[in-house]
Amino acid sequence: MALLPLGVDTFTLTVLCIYALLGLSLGFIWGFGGILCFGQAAFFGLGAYAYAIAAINFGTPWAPFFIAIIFPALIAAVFGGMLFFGRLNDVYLAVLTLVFTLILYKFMNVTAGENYIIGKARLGGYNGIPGFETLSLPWDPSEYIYGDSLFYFSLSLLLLVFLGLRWLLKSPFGRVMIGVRENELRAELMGYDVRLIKTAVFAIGGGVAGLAGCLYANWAEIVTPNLFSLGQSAEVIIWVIVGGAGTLFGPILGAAIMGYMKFLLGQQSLIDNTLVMGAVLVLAVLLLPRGIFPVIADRFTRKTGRERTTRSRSSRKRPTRKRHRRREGSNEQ
Amino acid sequence: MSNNIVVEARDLTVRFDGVVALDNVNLKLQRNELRCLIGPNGAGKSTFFKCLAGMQLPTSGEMIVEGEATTGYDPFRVARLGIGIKTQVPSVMDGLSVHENIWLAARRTQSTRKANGIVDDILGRLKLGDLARQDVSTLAHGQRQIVELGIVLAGDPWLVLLDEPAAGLTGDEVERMVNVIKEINDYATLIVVEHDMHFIRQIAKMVTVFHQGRVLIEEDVDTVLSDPIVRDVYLGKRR
Amino acid sequence: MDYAAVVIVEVFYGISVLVLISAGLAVVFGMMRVINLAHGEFITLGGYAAITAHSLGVPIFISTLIVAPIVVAIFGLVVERLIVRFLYGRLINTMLATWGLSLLMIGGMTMIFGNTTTGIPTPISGFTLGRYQMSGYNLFVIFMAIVTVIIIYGVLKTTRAGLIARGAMQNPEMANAFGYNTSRIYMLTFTAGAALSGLAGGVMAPLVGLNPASGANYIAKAFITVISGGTSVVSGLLSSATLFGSVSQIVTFISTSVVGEIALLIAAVILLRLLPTGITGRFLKGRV
Repeated sequence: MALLPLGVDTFTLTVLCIYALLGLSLGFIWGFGGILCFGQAAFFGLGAYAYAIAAINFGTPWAPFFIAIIFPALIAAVFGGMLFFGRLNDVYLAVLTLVFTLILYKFMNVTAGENYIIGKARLGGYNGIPGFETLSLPWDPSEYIYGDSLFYFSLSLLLLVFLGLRWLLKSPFGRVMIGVRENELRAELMGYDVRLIKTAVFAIGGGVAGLAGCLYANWAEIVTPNLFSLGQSAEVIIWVIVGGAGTLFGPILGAAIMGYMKFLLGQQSLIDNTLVMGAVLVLAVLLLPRGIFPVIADRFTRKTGRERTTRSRSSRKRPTRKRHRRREGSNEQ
Repeated sequence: MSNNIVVEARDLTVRFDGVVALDNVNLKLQRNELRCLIGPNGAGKSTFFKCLAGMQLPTSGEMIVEGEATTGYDPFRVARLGIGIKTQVPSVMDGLSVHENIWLAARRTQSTRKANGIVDDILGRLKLGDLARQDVSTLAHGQRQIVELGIVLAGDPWLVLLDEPAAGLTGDEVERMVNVIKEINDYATLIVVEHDMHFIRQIAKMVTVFHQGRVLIEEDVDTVLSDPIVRDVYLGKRR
Repeated sequence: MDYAAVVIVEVFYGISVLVLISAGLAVVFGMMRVINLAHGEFITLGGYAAITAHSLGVPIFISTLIVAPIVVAIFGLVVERLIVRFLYGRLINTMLATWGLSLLMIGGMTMIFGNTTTGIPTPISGFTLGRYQMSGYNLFVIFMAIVTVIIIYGVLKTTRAGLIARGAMQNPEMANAFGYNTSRIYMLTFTAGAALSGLAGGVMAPLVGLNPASGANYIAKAFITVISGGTSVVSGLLSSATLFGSVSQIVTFISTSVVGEIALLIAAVILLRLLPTGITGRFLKGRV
């Protein structure tokens, strides 16, 4: 492999791809939909669990593969619908999405024992669910997709989702969605049902996160409640912040960089991994509110002198700050 | 009640934490009318506007648009009745270009191709052609007002609500605004909330004066502007 | 009869725990509109401070009620100066930065105290009520919650400092114009909130096994208690702690404690869906 000099094998590269996919899901809903979800890990975990449970019940991998995308998307639609139709925003949205993950985390941790069985699958509580059927070639079930082929499979899916989202953003729906991010009231006054649009965006993000979870389940060959942990949700946010929300490539880059850093940190025991992640998040918020990728991209465009700067500067994202200002305004009423 | 009444407010009342912003307001609007709502700050004209636009839930009373009770409607449902709304502070999509802003408004009801046609037409009508590809965030306040007007027109509304359309415009732009408003009035009903008496004089036919949450007087523009009570209210002599 | 008494004490205990672990967050959120996601780790730090002081020979009540709040207050002061003060008025960014701080603290505490569970003995012995064994320390927790509420209320309502602080939060420019240094007031408020978190950590230390990741157990509950309460510090804290404390304890009686916690979280989701501005935002406007 070309990347072997970096000390990475395809096993690690696969998980970087999965992280990138998860980062992409949050980057999409946050950067383009203006929805900051503090519990994106919920849909990641739901995808992984949905795959594992379905795979044990069906004994085949491909129906579970699609279930692992559709189920989290549906849950995201229902939960998101509840939030958006209640017109919850900003901090309340953040709190409730966080609480949502925590409920799942706590619940999955106590599902040890005979009472918690879905079909043939035991939820297994703290220990999670091992031993399910992993992905294999549809035309030859004895040929499993693992190792190098799982990496190429994940990479192609990442590329596919990336291109799919890019196409979606260019479509009328995507443009409306960006319009909603820029000015919810105006979108509403144009006659768009903002609640519905945000719910749809949230569901798409949930589906992509579910796909990442499904691949993770295939990679790790076990699913545990830690997929729902606060730390996992925080990590996704760190990737997106480091890479820069408001672009699709930023979150992928952020996930790859931070995932690789985690991999390097895992090889030593002097400094705690979590400490570094935390420090990165604090510093990123304080020093790089727009993320790394937009900064690099700006420098690049300035160098090549292409006239894109005004556009990119404003469409690239400061929704956090901007939305907050808007919220303060509405508080005064 | 004649069929020509398109907007009717019945005993509309809005209270914020004990302050009465609107106090039993009754108001009727005929089709194809151009109605100006005026009054000093805090008179309730903007609150009335927001109730009609779905941006403010009245404490009591009813709002009826073409026989349909719209009280408690969300703004998007109000908009879907064919009502175009321009807010007081220009509400535009900052990170998007002028073209995209207007396109989004047109695209809600039209196909992409038709929407493109509508945008070109509006850019021409409002003389925004040169700015089409610019980010709205880079525009001056007056230009943003015009862009917002373009957004409103792109939805092809039969009823247009404008909240302080002349605020912050240069003399030149005011003139353009006056012309556009008159043009719109050829085919649509208009409600204009305004502060600027000079501007009112140029466009108004019927004027409703708000004062302390109530309708003080409702007459044609010349009667209103020569009314001593109205003058006192504006100059703050009364109460 | 005895059983009823036990249930009532347990419900009050549940409410008191919520009050204690939420008080610091409530002060900081209610007064400054800042959500400190590292709040759970502040409490954990208070616990570690108490345990460490105790193991060094400091009497237990001094360790838990004095050392813990002071240590966390100093830590909070440093955090405010280094991080939080740059982010005032940017709610989401503050949440993100303090989330980072939370991870940083978990990592730091893991490196210092190790990834193991520690604790200190309960200093008050139990007693029997009819056929039931009661924990005396639980009554002490209830007592401490009442004291905490009285202190917050007293400081905000009756002292000059509280008045200035309330004024400064309502209208920073005005307070500045009157010659008060709002930056200092924010700093002191944040520090006071941290001290309350430290106190909670100290008081809770004998009840829980402490490990670096313990904060996660507190943050969600404290978080939703405060958000659901709304921005009125005392009445919000009391009303939502009462609601959620009762719900979770009653469900715990019927089922298990984890189900009780899940019930609490679900109750919060429903409540916030119905009352997006919290209990006090709807019913008790304008109270302290």
